[in-house]
Amino acid sequence: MSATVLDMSTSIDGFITGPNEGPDNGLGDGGHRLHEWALSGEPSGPTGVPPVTASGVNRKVFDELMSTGAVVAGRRTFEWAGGWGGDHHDGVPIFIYSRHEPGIDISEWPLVTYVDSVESAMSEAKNAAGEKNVMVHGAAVTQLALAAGVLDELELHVVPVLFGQGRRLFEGLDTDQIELERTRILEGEGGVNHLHYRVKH
Amino acid sequence: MATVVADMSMSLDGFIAGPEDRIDEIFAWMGSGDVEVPLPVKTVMPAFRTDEASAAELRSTLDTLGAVVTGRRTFDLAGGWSGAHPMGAPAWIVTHNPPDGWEDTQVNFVTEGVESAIEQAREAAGDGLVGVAGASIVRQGLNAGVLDAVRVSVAPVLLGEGIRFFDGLENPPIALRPPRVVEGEQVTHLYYEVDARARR
Repeated sequence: MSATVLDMSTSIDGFITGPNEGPDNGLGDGGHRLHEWALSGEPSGPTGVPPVTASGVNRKVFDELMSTGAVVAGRRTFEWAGGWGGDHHDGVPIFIYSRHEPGIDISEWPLVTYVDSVESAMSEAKNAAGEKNVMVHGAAVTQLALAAGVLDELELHVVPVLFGQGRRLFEGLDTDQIELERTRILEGEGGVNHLHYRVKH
Repeated sequence: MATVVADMSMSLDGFIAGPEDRIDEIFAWMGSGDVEVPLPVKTVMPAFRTDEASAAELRSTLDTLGAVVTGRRTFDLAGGWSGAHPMGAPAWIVTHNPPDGWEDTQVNFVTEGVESAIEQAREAAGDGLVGVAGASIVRQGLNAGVLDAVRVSVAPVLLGEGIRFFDGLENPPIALRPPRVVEGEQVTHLYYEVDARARR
């Protein structure tokens, strides 16, 4: 059975970007630190993403993420990342939650669909993914999906740093408290810990 | 030399207390297990009841704890632990207005700020552990560069609102060393040493 799985790298104090994030600075100042467990070095190619350098445990976690069958993200996450060039990984379908028209040209990207509700984005992605899981990305989508009860699992990559500023993953959660069940911890290279939780609906 | 450790339980979304200072879910791991760890001072509760891995962590802390530093808010919420901290160590409370009536107890009040409180606690702790608790005190300790380590016990819950553990850092980012990880039944204990560059 397919599950929707939030995949985010975060500082211990819960930030997913550094300060001064923007369209040309999607990770914020110094935000690459949160992703070094998987991607590091000089960016290459049209998407501006550093090469994959994960090994060992980190590689296993990265490969799991890259074996998901669909991607759901928010408009900001997607557009500030240049739309991942229209293909996040392996040509899987991408569903972008947005109440507005696309802010970038997606006409040449057949994998990308804009959807105006989080519930629809999740259910369409699950259908598209078949037996595989759905990778979920972004803070805004996380809040809405948790409140709507359509996020099944969390895979957080907790990096040993206190950021103090930037965008928080969990901010303004519009719901009562949510109980979780921890299902896995993997200690990655370099001090990152991969914590996996199931959301108790 | 003493080791100064910020030690707090926190929800996965970063809160050490929920709305109206609720701590039930965050502290659940200390009271809901089969393994008993008796407290040296039993005024608040007689013992922790937890899982085996968490019990080992608590025993180790109790064995080495030499002093506690916390804030006035924590002290007041706990009713001053009736004058003796449950963990059995003398406590230093940072406050602007020391209350009367706590003479001849294990509680000391410090009006010169967090750094002074930690320095006094360090001297009292010898080679032991100085436990630092309370969001505001931890923040000031991190900003002053006087914390050696941070232990976060992560509870499996999202609270959505409340008091954040880490807020208002003045000189971020603060690098930490790769943690020691202890898997409790559901709680996750992460013990990070503060990188030397972020210490004084």
